[in-house]
Amino acid sequence: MNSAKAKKRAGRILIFILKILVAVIMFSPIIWVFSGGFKNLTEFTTSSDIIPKNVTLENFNYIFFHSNYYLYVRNTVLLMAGTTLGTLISSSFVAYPLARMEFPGKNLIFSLIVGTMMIPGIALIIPQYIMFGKIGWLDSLLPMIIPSFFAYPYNVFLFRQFFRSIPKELDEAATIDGCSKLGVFFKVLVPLSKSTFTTIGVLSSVFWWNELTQPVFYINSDKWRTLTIALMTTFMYTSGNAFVINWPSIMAASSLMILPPMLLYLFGSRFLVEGIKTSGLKG
Amino acid sequence: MAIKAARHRSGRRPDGKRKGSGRKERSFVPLSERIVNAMKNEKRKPINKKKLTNHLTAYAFCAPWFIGFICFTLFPIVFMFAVSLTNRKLNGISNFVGFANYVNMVQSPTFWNSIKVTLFFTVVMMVVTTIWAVILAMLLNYKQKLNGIFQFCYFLPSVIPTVALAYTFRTIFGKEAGLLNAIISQLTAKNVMVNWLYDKRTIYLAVFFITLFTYNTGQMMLIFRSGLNDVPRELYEACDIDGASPFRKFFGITLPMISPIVLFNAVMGCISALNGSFALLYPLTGESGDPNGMTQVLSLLIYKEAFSNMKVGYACALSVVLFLIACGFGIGIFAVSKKLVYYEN
Amino acid sequence: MGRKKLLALLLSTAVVCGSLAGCGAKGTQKQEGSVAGSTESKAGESSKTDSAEVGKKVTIAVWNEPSKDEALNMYLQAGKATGIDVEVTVIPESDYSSKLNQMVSTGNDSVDIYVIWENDIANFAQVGGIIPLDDYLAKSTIKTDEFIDAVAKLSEGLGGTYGLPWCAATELLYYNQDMFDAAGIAYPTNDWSYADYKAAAEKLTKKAADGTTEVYGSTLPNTQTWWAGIGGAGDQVFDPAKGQMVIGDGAVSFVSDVAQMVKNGTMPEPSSDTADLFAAGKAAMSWQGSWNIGTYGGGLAFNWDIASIPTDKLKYNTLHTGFYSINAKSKNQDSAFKVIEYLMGEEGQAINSKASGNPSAIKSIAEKGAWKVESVTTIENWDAITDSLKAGVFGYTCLPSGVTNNAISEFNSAVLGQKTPEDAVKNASQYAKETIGY
Repeated sequence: MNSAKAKKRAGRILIFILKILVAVIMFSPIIWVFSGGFKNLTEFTTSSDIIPKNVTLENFNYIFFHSNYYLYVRNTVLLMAGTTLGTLISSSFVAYPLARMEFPGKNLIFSLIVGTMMIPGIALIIPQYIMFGKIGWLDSLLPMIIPSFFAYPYNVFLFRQFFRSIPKELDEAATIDGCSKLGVFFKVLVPLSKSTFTTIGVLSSVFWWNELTQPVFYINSDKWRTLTIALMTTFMYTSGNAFVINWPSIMAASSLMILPPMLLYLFGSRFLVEGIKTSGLKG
Repeated sequence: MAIKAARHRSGRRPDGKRKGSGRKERSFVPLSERIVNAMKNEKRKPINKKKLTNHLTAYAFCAPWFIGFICFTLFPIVFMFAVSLTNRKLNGISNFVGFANYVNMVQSPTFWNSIKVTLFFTVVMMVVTTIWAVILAMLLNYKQKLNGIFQFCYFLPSVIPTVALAYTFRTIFGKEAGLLNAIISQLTAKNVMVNWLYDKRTIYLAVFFITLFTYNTGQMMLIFRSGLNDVPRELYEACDIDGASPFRKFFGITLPMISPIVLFNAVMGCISALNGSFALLYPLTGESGDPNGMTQVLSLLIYKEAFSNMKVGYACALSVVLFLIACGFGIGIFAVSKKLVYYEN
Repeated sequence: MGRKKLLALLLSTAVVCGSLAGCGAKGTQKQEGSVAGSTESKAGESSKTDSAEVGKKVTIAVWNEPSKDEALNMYLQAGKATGIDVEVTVIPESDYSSKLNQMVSTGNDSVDIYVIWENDIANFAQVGGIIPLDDYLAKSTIKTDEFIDAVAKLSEGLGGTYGLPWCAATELLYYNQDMFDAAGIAYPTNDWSYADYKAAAEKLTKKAADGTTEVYGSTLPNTQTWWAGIGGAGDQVFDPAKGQMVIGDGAVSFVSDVAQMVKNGTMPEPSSDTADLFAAGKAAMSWQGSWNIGTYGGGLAFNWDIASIPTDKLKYNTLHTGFYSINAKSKNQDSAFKVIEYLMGEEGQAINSKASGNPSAIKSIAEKGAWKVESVTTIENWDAITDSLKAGVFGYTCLPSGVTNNAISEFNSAVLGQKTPEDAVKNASQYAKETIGY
C-alpha cells in the first residue's frame, strides 16, 4: 500500500518539475524581449546577457517622445473597436438561424461557411487589393472593418455552438408571448450569451491588435499606420538608415505591445476559459 | 444504410407496420382530379405562408454573410482565376495569355520546391503544435498548486504579435550573440556557435520550435484544456481499479473522448499553417526562404512574385494552386475524421 | 430593452455608413495606366492657373525618415522657402518599390512627388504614372547640363527627363584605423588592389584559442556591395539595352573568394541577427554605402577612415539615388515642381548632402563639398568619394528587387557551402531570365 502511494507521490513531483521546466521554456522569450528593450544596439549585437550591463531608456524614449506612438495606438484601437463591433453584430445575427431555425439550404450554407474558413487569406489578398484599389478604400482602415460587418466564419461557428446549448423552451416561451424572431434574438439569446460575446470580443480584439498581414497590404501612409506595421518600420529602422536593424528598439516596442493583452488576460482569464468551455465543441 | 435496405426488403416499414397499410393513393390519378386537388390545396396556404415567412426571416438573418461571401470571397476567387490567365504586372498593364503562367509554373524548379516545402510544413506544423498543445493541456489538467501561474506562462507567448515573435527568435537563434548559443556555451563550457537559421540541418528544428509559441498553439491548448475537463472521472477510476498504466489510460480513454476536439484543432492548425505561416516566416527568413529555399512556402513565393518581381498574373496562378491545396487538406481532414472521430451522441 | 438595443444598432450602422460614404467619395479613379496619353495630359494640366495651387499641401513619398534635426530636414526647409506645406509619407524600404507600383496601378493621387528608384523610373514612365519634366525644366533654374554622366545616360534611354536625382551615393571601403595600427599594416588608399584587400583581411583576423574568430578581417558584403565585388571582377551586371542581368565568371570568382574567406574565419557567416559588426568593433573593414558616414557621425568608439572599393579587374561600384518625379495623377503638379525646384537647388542639395553625407549629382554643387559630414572628425580621405563617383554606374539597382534578392540568397547559400558558386550563379541567372521581360 505504501509503495503505491509513494509511487503516486513521486509521479506528482515529477509532473510538477516537468511543469516548471516547460514554463521556463515557454516564458524565456518574453524575458528576452523585456530585457532587450533596455539595451543599446551595440550591446545587443555583441553580448547575450539577460540583464543588460548598461541599462538604458533610449529606446523607450524614442518610442514615446520622438515617434507618432500615440497616433499608432489610436489607429490600432480604432481598428480593434471597429472590427470587434462588426463581428459581434454580424456573426451573432448569422449564427441565429443556423442554430434555431429550419430552412432549405441550411446545411449547405453552414458547410459553405465552414469551408470558407479553410481558404488562406494570402491567396485572396491580391484580388481583394485590386478591388479595394478600384473603390478607393486603400490606405485606410475600411478594407478590414467593412468585411467584419459581414460575418467571420469562425465567430459564426462559435456563436452557433453556443446558441445550440441554450434550451429551446425559452424561445418557445417568448414566441408564445408574441415575440417575433428578432425579438426572441434580442430578448432571449443575447442576454444569456453575455459570456460568449465577451469571449469572442476579447479574442477578436487581441487578434486585430496583433494582426500584420492585412494592415501591411492595405495601409501605406503614416496617417493610418497601426502598431504592428510601426514595429516593422518606424521602430525597426530608427537611425534614418534603412539597412541597419535596430533590434533593441523592436524589443522595446514589442514589450509595449505585449502588455495590454497580458493584463487583459490576467484579469479576464476566467471569462476566456469559461467562454471557450461553454461553446461546446463536441458538435 | 444496410439496415434500412434490409428492412425495406423484408416488407416492413420503419415503424413496424406492414407495408401497404395506410399508404396514400399515388399510383394513377387522372389530370382533372389533380387540378381539383391542387385547387383544394390552395386553402392550405395560410399554414404554408407562415413557413415561407419563417424561411425568409432565416435568409434575412443570413444575408450579411451572403453579401459578404459574394463580395469578399466569391468575387475575388473568380477574379483570381481570371487574372491568372493574364500576365498582369504590378503597375496594371495586362494581356491575356491563356495558360502560359501554368505552363511556366510547372516547369519551374522553384515552384516544385515550394510545393514540397508547403506540404511538409503544413503537415508537420499541424502535428507538432497539436501534440504540444495536448501535452500542455494534460500538464495543466493535474490540479496542483500554482496552476494559474503555469497557465499564464504557457499561454502568454501566444499573445505576442507574430512579427515580434519572429524578430525575437531571430536574435535568440543568432550566431554571434544569440541567447541559445550563449546558454549552450555556458552549459557545455565550449564556445558553441551554431547558425540555427542558416544551417540546413537545424533550420527545421528551429522553425518548428518557434511554431510552438504561436497564437494558434495557445488557443488549441485552451480548447484542449476545457475538453479534458469534460472527460468523466469515472472512466479513469474504473481504469485505476483494473490497474491500467498511464499510457493505457491515455490512449484508451482520453484520446477517443477528445477526438472531436482533436479534429477541430487539426482543422485550425491546418488553416494556421497555410495562412499564418506567412506572418511568421516572412520576418524570420525573408521572402526567399533561406537557407536555399528550404522555408519558401507557397505564401512566401506568392508574395515574392507579386510584390518583388511584380508578376501579379503569375502570382495569381500560384494563389489558385494554394487555394486548391487548402481545399484538398480540408476534404482530406474530413474524410479521415469520419473514420477516427468518436462522437458521444 | 430590445428597442434600445435596436436603436443603438441602427445608430452605429448609420455612423459606419456615413463614414463609408465619406471615404468612398474620393471618387472613382482611372485604374489601368495608359501607355500613350501622358504627354497630352501633361500639356493640359500645366495650363492650370497657379493661384489655385499656391499655399496648398504637397505630399512626398520617401523611404527614409527625415532628419530629426530641423536644420537638416530638407522637406521642412523646402516648406519654409516656398510657402507650400510639404508632408512626408514614409513607406518602409522593404516594400517601397512594390507599394509605389501599387499606387501607380490604382491611379492613387494622395502622393504628389514620388522619390523613385532606378528600376522603377523606366517602369513608371512607360505606363504614364509620372510626367516628363522637360517643359517645367525649360523654365526653371535647375542646372540640368551639369549632371554626372550616369544620370544623363539614363534619361537618354527614356526619351525625356522623368526624374531628377536627389543625390549620388556610392559605395566605399570603411576601415578601422586602430586595428590597422595594431597589426602594423599601411592604411588602404584609393589605389588599393583587391589582392591587397584580401591579404590585409587575413592579417587583421584575430582568433581565439579554440579557433573561433574574435575579430573578423572584414564583414560580409551586404546586399549592395555584393554587386560591387561582382562588377569589379569583370561582369557587366546590368545590360541597359535588354534590361537583363548579366553575371558569369566574375560572379563565380567573387563568390568563391567570399566562401573561402568565410571558411577561414576571416569573414562571418551570413546570420539571422544581422548586425553591424564594423560599428561594434568586431570587424576591421567593411564595404558599405556612402550614406553610412552620416549615420556613424562622430559616434564610433574608434578612429576610422574611408577609401574607394579596392580595384579588382576594374574599379566598380554602384550609384544609388532616388529620383524626384511628379505623379501624373497629382492635382498639385505646379506646386510639386516648385518644391522640387527648391530641393534640386543649391540650398536643398546642400541640406541633403549635409544630412546624408551624399554628394549632389550636380557637379558644381558637389564641388562645394557640403557632403563632408561635419560631425565626423577622423576622415581625411574625402577624395575617396569623388573617386568612387567617377567609377560609379547604375548597375544592379535597375533590376527588379526580387531578382537581386534571389541572387543574393543563392550567393549566401554558396558561401555556406550548400552549393557550388557555379550552381548559385547559374540559378540566379536563370531566375532573372524567367522574371525579366514577363
